[in-house]
Amino acid sequence: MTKESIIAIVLGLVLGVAVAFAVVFYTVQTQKEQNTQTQPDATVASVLVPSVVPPTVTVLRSLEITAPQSGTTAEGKTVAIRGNAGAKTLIIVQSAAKNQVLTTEQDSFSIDFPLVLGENAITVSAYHEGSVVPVQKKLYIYRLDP
Amino acid sequence: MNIRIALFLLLSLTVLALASFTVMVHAQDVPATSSAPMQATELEDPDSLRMLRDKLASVVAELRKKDEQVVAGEVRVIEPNYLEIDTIAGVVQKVELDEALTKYFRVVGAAKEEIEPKDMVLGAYVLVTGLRTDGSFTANEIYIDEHFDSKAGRVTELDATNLTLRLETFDKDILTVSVARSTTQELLNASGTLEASIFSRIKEGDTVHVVYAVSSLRTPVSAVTPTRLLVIPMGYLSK
Repeated sequence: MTKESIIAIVLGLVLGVAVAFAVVFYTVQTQKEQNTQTQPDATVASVLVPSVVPPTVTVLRSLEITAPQSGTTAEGKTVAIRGNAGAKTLIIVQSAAKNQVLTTEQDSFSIDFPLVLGENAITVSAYHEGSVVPVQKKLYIYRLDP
Repeated sequence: MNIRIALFLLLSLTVLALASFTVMVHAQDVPATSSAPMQATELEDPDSLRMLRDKLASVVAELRKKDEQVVAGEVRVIEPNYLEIDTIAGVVQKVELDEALTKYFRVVGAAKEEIEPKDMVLGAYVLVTGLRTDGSFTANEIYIDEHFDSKAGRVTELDATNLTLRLETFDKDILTVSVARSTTQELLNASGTLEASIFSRIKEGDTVHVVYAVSSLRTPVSAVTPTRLLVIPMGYLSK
């Protein structure tokens, strides 16, 4: 083997190893970045989320019941009715078991309401500030265990 | 081509190919999970088997409960193997009955009493619990119950002698309300709380909410004797 052939072999090996190192380094870095994207840091998320939520300035003139879902069964003797109706809204919750009223201080409201055995047909009425006509929603909640 | 250049390129490509192959194999390795597989010896232990069976039964029961739905409405057809119900959603629901599985109850106040299938009558308001599979609904339990509804509107006429009032409802209907001794009457006072009230405190122009028992889902309601009546004085909402 000539001297030039040995030099060519050595240079080929060196270049191959160098390129291999570059490929391995690039692959490892790419995997690290992908792992970081698929498993976000909870601390970072909790810091970032509030900054992208715009401040609530809309005046709600509707009634949204967020819980419970109508048509579901409940196991306790009361149910927490939660929703959004806007601030300073008169909320009237009615069933055959009870009437309850409250005036909201914020957009959301929550009220513990008693349930009777069987069907509970509950009507939630919201009189927004300055309105004499209510927005109404009906809920059917079933309690079947005494 | 010079043989030395060819040798140089061949060696470089070989080393590169070997390195890339190693990296690819490494990248496809699945990291080990923390959960250890169940050992065969654990399954041979009777206690472990019983615990596993109980746990499975509990999970199945929870899933059945989770999947259980309620259909409510008036019975319009009674057959030995099925019922047809006019639901409160306005559709007809066929309910399959299982002689061995389906149980019948009547809600009486704060209790329920078991009844016989023959106690089921046309027009009864029922709550049916069951599972919906492949479009059919099979009843687990059927409860005969009372159905209530509510309406609200503005008082347009009062008859203090007969304890009746006429409401122009927010649905643009006219409703005659007969107040009975059994009617629970409440009034929203100036401080925003409810207090017990009497018929004579109701004025024309007040807003009234009533809750009443429904005798039939398909019959339009024009007159009711409410279980509950709530009065919002005229000035309260406009203040």
